[in-house]
Amino acid sequence: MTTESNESQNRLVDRLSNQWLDTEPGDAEFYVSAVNASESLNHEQLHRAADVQLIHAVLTSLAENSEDARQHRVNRLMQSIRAAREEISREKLTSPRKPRRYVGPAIRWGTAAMIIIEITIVLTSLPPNKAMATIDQMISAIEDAGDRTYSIIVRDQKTGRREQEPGRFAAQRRNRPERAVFDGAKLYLRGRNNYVLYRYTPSGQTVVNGSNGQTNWLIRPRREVLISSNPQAFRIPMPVDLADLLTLDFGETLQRIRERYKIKYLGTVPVEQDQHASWAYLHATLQKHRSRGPRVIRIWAHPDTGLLRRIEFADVRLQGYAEPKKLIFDLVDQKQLPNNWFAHSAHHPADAEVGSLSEY
Amino acid sequence: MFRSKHNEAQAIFEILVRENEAMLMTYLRAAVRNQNAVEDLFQETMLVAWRRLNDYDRSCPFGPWIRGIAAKLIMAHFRKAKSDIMITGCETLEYLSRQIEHIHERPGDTWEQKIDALEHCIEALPDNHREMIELRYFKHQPPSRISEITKISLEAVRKRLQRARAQLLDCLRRKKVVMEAGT
Repeated sequence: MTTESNESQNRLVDRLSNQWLDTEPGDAEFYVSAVNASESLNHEQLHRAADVQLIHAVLTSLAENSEDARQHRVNRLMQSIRAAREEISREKLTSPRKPRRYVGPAIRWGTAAMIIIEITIVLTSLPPNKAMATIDQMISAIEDAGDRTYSIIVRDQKTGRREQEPGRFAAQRRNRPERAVFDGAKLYLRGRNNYVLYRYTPSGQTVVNGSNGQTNWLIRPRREVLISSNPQAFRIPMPVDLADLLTLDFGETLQRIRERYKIKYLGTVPVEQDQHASWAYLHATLQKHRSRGPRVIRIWAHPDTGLLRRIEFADVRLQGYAEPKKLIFDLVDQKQLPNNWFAHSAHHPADAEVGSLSEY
Repeated sequence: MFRSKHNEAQAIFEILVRENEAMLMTYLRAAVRNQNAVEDLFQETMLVAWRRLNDYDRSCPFGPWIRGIAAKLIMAHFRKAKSDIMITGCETLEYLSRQIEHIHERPGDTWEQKIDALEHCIEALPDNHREMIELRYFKHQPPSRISEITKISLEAVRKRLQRARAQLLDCLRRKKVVMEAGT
């Protein structure tokens, strides 16, 4: 059989299988017709159909990320087994009792030992968790890391395209000041407590938030510079979905991801345009659906040092955008920044008015 | 304190159930369309296995034995609800069982670890196909709802899902997770 006719045969089988898989309730005729058509398939075609349906099944297994559902399934089974056993016991109570076969202590101990050995084998055969080890290494790496500059990118979740200038016209309509956005922002980090975040409004005005670990500060267009020793002052308004997950201290963010997400290590891969280097790739899925936070977080790190290269939060609702977005922090530079970079004075003219808000 | 022999057998069986739960669910989902029927068949298969545990030869792997029980129950279900099952016949179910065993033999302690490669394959899909897979499986949306969300026709949604699944199959074959056709 030629490759061409194989492909056309595959397409026919795929159409039937997919018709069967994707038909919805109320569309019974559609899948009955698929089932009827499948009766004329030969062995090879049936194998192809089985493979397509296997893909559906494996995807469904992968997506069933709820331990609760699995637990419930097994518990339901074990309850049925116990109930059946109790039923038998009740029946035995009402019927004449047979003499019990003697089971010596050696057999009992032997069986108990067998269970312990089996459980031990299950537990000790688990490999060291590479994903957790990588996250831990990343958290430690932040303590010792030099200066890092991350570019912040917002992409449409569906199209993957970069979106710019959200809310400009809405702000104009409402006669409100424009909001500084995350897309196109730059984040400068030193250690865990020093940061400077440059964000821009759609018309190009600059808003800068920063901290040197002791003083937090905020610089806005045509307004006085605000400083405060309150560590909570001028915090960045994080998207609702990320409010209790993402902080500008990536060590803290990674720790929270470690606690709330199921993390898998998926080997070393390149990052988008940077095809020359490979990075350790972690895929984190939200463990509990009731917890707040993006369903999926993708993380790339240096495979040896644990340096955070890129972190992507999927399906995030950002202010100013109607559709869910991907929020990406991408490492763009590791050059040493000036010593005073994390002090406000490095980012405004010397004669700018500065207001101290101790109670802010 | 000694546990009764029955309790001990039950404890061992529960371990086997937990170890094989995801594998068996995948096998059933690949053969049976109706999710409620899949759940019932899982319970039924495991109950039959429990009742016949004395027949199980412990020198053989548990997976093929349990899938053998499941295959008989799937065929019985087919007689009651024909449209729930598209691939019928012992030979096709046996082929499916071999594919599952092939995955089961991969390195990894859990089923999820054995199918890890699928995540890479999803990542490698074109954006518009990955979106379909994410909406259909990870957001549990039916095709009609996906059509509303993405504002593309239902026919186009079905087509994209079909192509995405075919690409995932090719990708898993290349990664040797799934055996080549005719193996």
